Amino acid sequence: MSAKSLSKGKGRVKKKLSGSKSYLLNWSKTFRGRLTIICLIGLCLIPLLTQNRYYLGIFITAMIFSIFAASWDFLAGFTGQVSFGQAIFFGISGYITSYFIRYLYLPWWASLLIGSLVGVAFGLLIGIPALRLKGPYLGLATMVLGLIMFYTFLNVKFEPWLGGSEGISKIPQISRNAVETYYIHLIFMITSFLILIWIGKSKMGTVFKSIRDDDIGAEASGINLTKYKLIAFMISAFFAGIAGGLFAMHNRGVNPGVFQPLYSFYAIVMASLGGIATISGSALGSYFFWFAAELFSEWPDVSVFIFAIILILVIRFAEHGILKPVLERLKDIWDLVLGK
Amino acid sequence: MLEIKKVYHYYGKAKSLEEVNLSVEEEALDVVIGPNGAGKSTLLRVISGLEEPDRGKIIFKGVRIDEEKPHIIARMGIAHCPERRRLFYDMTVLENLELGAYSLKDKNFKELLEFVFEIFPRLKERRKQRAGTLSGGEQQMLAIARSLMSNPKLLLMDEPSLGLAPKIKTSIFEAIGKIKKEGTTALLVEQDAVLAMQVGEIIHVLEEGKIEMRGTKEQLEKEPRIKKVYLGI
Repeated sequence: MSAKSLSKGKGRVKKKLSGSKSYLLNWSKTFRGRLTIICLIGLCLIPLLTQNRYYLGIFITAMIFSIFAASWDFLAGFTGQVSFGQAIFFGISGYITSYFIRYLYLPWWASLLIGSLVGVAFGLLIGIPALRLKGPYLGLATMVLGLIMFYTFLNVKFEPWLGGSEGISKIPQISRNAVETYYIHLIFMITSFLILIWIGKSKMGTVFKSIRDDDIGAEASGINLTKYKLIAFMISAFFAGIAGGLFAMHNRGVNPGVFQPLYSFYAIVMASLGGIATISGSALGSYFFWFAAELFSEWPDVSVFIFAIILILVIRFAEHGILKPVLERLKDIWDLVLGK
Repeated sequence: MLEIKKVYHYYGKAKSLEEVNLSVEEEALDVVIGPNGAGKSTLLRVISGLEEPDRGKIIFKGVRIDEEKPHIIARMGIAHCPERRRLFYDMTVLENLELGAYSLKDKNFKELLEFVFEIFPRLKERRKQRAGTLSGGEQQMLAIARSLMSNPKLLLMDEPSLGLAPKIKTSIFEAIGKIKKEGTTALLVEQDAVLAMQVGEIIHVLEEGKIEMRGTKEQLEKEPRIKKVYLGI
C-alpha cells in the first residue's frame, strides 16, 4: 500500500471517529441520552450506598440477565429469528467456563472467553435448522433442542463426564471483593450493550432488519440469507454465552437447571417487558423483573402469579414494551419540572 | 440473453412447470400472461433461484444458473421484483433502496438513485418515510425502484399491477416503458392481459405450466381464443 493511500485511509478513520463523536454529543443532549447517562452514573454510585454482598448481588444478577435478554432481543428483534432455546448458549457457556476454572485452573476471563466461543459454536449448530424453519416452527425446534441439552446433562449415565444433577460446583467468584465484582459486571453490561447497539446501527444491522422484515425480499436483493442468519445466531450466542459464564461464576457453580426452557423464557419476558428491538429495553426489563422478584421473594408462589399478570397486562396495553411509554411519561414530568 | 430450456418444476407431486422453453433477447421487454395458478410466479422464482427447477437448463449470458443460490444470481445481474412487493416495511424508502443496491460493487449508487428518482419522482418526496406507510401504488413503485438499484441486466417483475387502481396501474406501466427505453431488459409476468400486451414486445401465454402460444401483440390479437379468454372481445 502506498503512503498516499495509507494517509487517505487514516483520514477516513479520523472522519469516522469525529462523526461518531458528534453523534455521541448530539445523543447526550437528547432526553433519552441524558436519562441513560443519569442511569449509568446512578449504577456507578450504587456501591457507595451499600457494600452489602446480598444487595449488590441483586444488581449483578439483573446485569447478567440484561446481557442475556439483550442477546435474545438481538436475534428476535433485529433479525426476526424467534428462539425459545436461548438457554442452550447460556448453559453451555456456563458449563465450559466452570470446567476450565475448576479443573484446568485457567483465569476467569480466559475461561469466560472460551465458554462464550463454545457458545458461538453451538449458535452455528442451532442456526442450521433455522435456515429451513420459520416462526413458530423455529421456536419449537429450539425449545426441544434446549430440553435435549437439559436431559442429557441431567442423565445419570453421563454423570462421570457431565456432572449429573450436581453439575460443577465450588468455583471461585470473580473477586472476593463484592464492589470489584459489581464494577466488573457493570463494565461487561455496558460493553455488551454498546457492541449490540453498534451492530444494530451498522450496515450489517440494516441487513439483519431486512431479513426480519421480509426474507424473500432480502434474498431477491442479493443478500446471502444463509450467511447472515448464521452470523446473527453466532453473535447472539456469544453474548448469551457471556451472560451464562458470568451467571455460573456469580452462583459459584452450574447445574443442568440452566438449560431449562425457563431461562429462555426469562430472556423473552425481560426483553418483551422492556421493548423488543430496542436492546436497552432489555436492561429495563431485567431490572424490573429482578427487583419485583426480590419484592415478592417471601411469597415465591404469588410472585409467579403476579409476573404472569404483569406480562399479560404489558402485552395487552403496551405491546411494544414499557420502555417507550415510560420514557414519554418521564419526559412529560421532566418538562413540567423545568417549566416548559 | 436469457434462455430457458425444457424446464420442469414440481411442488411435491403437483406439476407447476412443464417443458417450458423461453428466451429473452437483449434489450427486449417480454411479457408472460396467463390465468391464476398457471405457474407464472413459479417461472420467475425458478429463474431467480428462489425455487430450483427439477429438470432443464437456464442459461444467462452463456452461463448456467439453474443450480445457483439466489444471492449469487442477484449478483450476476438478475433482479427479481417479487409478487406482493415484499418491501422492508419497517425501514425508510431510502434504506429500502440502499438494500436494493446491496449487491452493487462499483460505487455509482448516487447516479442510480438519481435515475430511480427520475422515473419515480414520488419516491424522492417520500424518501424519509417508512415503507409501510406508503400507499399501494407507491409501494409498488418502491419495489420496482429497489430492483433497479442493483443496476440489473435483466429485471424480473411479478404482477406489478396487483391490487392497484386502474389509474395507478397505467402510471406503473408508463414507468416500465421508461425503464425499457433506458435499455434494461425485462421479463414481466402479468394477469392484466390488456395492459401487458400494450407494453410487451413478445407475449408468452402460459397455461397450466405450459407455454401454449407466443407472438407479438398483432399476432395474438388475431387468435380467437386469446380474444375470448384474455381480451374479452
